Amino acid sequence: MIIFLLRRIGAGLVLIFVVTAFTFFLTYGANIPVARNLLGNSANAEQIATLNAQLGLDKPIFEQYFRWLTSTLHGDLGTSYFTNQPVAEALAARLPVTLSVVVVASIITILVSCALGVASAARGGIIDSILQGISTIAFVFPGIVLGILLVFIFAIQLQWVPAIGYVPFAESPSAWFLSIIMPAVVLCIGGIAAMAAQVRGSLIDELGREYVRTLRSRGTSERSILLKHALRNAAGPALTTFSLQFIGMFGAALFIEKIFALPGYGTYAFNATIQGDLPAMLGVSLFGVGLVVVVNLLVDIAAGWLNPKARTS
Amino acid sequence: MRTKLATRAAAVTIVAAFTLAGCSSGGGSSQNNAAQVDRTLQLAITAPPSNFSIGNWSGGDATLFNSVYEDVLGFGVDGKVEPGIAETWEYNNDRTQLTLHIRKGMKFTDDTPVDAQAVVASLEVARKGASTSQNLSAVTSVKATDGSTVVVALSQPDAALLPSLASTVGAVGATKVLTAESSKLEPVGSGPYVLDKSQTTVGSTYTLVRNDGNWNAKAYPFKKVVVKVIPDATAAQNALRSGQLDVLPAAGTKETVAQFPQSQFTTGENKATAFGALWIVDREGKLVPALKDSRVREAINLAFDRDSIAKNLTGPGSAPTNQVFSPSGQAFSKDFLSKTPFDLDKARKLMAEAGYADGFTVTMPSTPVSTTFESTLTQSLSDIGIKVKWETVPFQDFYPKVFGGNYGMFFMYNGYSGSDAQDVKASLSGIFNPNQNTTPELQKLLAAANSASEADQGAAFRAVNNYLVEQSWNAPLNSTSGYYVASNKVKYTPPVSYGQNVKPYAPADSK
Repeated sequence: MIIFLLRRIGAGLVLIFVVTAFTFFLTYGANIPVARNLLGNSANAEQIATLNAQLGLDKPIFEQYFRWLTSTLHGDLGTSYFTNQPVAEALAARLPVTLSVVVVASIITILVSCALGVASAARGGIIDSILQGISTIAFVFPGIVLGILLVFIFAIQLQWVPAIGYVPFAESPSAWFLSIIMPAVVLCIGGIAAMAAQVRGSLIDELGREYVRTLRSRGTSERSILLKHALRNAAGPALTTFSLQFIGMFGAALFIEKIFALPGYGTYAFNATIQGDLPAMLGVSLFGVGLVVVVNLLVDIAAGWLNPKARTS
Repeated sequence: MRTKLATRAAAVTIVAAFTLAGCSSGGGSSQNNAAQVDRTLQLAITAPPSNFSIGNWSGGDATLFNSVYEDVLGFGVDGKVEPGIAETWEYNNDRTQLTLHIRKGMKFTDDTPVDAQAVVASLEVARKGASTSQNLSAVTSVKATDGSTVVVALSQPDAALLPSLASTVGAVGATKVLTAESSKLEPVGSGPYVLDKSQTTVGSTYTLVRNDGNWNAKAYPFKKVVVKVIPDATAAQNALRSGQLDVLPAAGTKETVAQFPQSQFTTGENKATAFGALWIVDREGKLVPALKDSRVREAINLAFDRDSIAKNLTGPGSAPTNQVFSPSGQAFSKDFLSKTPFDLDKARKLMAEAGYADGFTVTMPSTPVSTTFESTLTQSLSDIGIKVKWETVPFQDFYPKVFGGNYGMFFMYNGYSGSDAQDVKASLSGIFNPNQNTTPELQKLLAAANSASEADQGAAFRAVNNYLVEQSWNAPLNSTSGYYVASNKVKYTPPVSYGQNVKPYAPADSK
C-alpha cells in the first residue's frame, strides 16, 4: 500500500511539473501584452519598456521560467502582476471561500443523493418514478437560472441571505453560512441528480446479489441489509462519481463565484487567465493539479477502506 | 498619465465622465458643506487596484487611490482643479515654471509632516513611474525652495500639468515608505481616508476609514467607505437591489436602469465618458496610400450618418460626435458637427477628385470592441467605394499589430481624460497615433494652447479641435455616457471626471 501511495505521489508531482511548464510556455507563447493592459492605450513605448523591466518580462523565456521554478521550490509562488499580492497569499485567502462552498455543496450532495438513491432503490414503484423525475429535472435545469432565481427570491425580495459576498467563518458562523448556502445549493443541484442515479443503480444491483438473499434468510432486518451492507458495497461507484464531481465543482465555482461575487479560487483563476497574469495562472495551475492528485489519492484510500478487495487490486 | 490611463481604461469599458480641469491660480474650494455622519458608503469597482505605490498605480477607478493619498491638487465634481496639498499656485509669465504653495500643518498618517520636501520626493518618483512618467514628461526639475514652496520647471508649457497634478500623478506619499515594497498594498498618505487593513481583503473588499486629520475631512460625510470588487454587472445590480451597494455609477443602459423601482432608487444619465472613433493611423499612406490624401479622409467622415448611429446603433446614453474632445470641456463645439455632415454625394465627389472614384480596399482588425460597429462601418464605407476586409485579431495581438503598421485604420473607444489638454494628448499618442504623425500647423496650435492662460485655454484648444476636424484627422462617431442608479439613501452627482474620488457621493438627507 505504501509503495502504491508513493508511486501515486511521484506520478502526481510529475504531472504538476508538466502542467505548470505547459501553462508557462503556452501563456508566454500567447504574447499577452501585460504592460499594455496595465498601462492603457495611450502609454508610450518607454513606459511599456519600464514596466516590462520591473516585472522581469524583458528577460529571456527560459530565464523567466527557471526563476519561477526555483522560487516555487523555495515556497515562493511569485507576485501577481495585477494585484501585487503574493500568489501564495492570494490562494490561501481565496481557498477557504471556494472550499466553504464546495464542501457544503458536497455534504448536501452526499446526503440528498444518498437519501434519494436509497429511497428509489428500496421503495421502487411510483416513488422511484417521482424521484427519478425530480432527479432528471434537477440534472437538466441550468444552474445559472437557478442562481438568478434564488438571488431574486431570497436575497432581493425576502432579504434572508446576501446577494453577493462572503463572510469568513471566524467572523460570524451564521453570516458565513448565509453567505454560502445559495452558491452551494446552485453548485450541487446537478451533482445530486447524477449521484442519486448512481447510488440507485448500484444499490439495485447489490440488492439483487446472493449475499443479500443470505442475509435475509438469516433474519437480518431490511434496514440493516440496506444501510449496513448493500449501501456500503454500492458506495464504491458512487464515490468515484463524487470524486469527479468534487473536482468539477472547483471548475463550476468559476461561474458560481461570478454570480455571487465571491472572492474565491474560481474568480482568481478567471481573472488571471483573461489578464495574462502569469504568476497567478501558474499558482492556480499548481494548486488545481495538486488538488486533482490529492483527491484521487484520497478516493483510492477511501475505496480501500470501504471495500478491502480494492486494496489488493 | 495616471488620470489618463486610469480613467481611460475605466471610461472605455464602463461608464465614466472626464473633463476640463481648467483652473485659476489660487483655485476654489472643494467643501461641499455636507454634514459629517457616521455612515458607511458602499461602492463597487470592476477590478481590484493593482498597485498603490506612487507612480505605479494602474486600473480604471482611482477612487481608492485618491482617497488614501492627498494629491498636490484636487478634482471637483464639476471637473475643475481645486486646492489640495498645494493651497495656491501660480505660473511664471511664459508658463514654464509652476510655483506650488504647500498647505502648512498637514501630516501623513504615520505622523510625518507633509511639506515641500515630501512633495518633491513624490513627484520625483512619479517622474520615473511607469504609469506617470508620460504625464510629467515636460517637467525638467522639481525643487523645494523652502519648507512650503515647490517650484516645478518645465521644458515647455504643458496645459495638462495641472489636471495631472490633480489626479493620481500628483499623489503625495509618506517619504519613508515611498518606494518600499509595502507601499504596493499598504499606502501611507494624507488623504481623506485610510485603508483599513483589518477590514480589507486584497482583490475582494477594500475598507476606507475617514482620516479626521485630513485638512478637508469635513467635506467627506461618510465615516467609512467599503469598496467591493464585483466584475459581473448582474451581481452588482443584485447587490444594489439587496442593499449591499449604494450606487452604481455605471449601471448600464437606459433599459437596465429602468428596471430599478423609482420608489427606492434614483436613476439618471452620466456625463460623457468615452467616444468611439475610426482611427485613421496611416496618415503617411505607407500601407494604404489613399489615406494620405485629406480629401479621402474627409470623404470617410462624410460617409457616416452619425445621428442615425447614435439613435439606432448605440441608443440612449450616446450622442453623435466628430471630435476627440469631451462634450463637457471647453474645446468641444456643437457647431463643428456641421463640418462633417452625412453627405454621400460630396464624399463620392471628393473620392473622385483624389483619384479614387473606384474606391480602394482596406483591412481593419475585428476586435470585441468593434463587432457592434462592423456592419455599419462596412456599409457606410462601401457607399463611397471603400471595401473593408475584417481580420479577426485576438486582443493580445491587437496592440503589436497596430504598432507594427499592419492597419491603416481601426475602430476603438477612447475615454475622456478629465481635461481638454489631456484629451488631445491622449488622442495623439499611443495606439491612436502609432506613427506619431503631426504637422507644423498642429504643433503651432498645440504650442499656443499649452501656453495659453487658463482664461484663454478653452478657445486655444477649440482651435486645435477645429484643425483636427477640418483636416479629418480621425473619424470620431459617437460619445457615450451611460446611466447611473443610486439608492435613495445616497445623493449622487454625476461628476465630470469619473472615478476620481468620493466627492460625488453624499447622504440623501445632506444639504
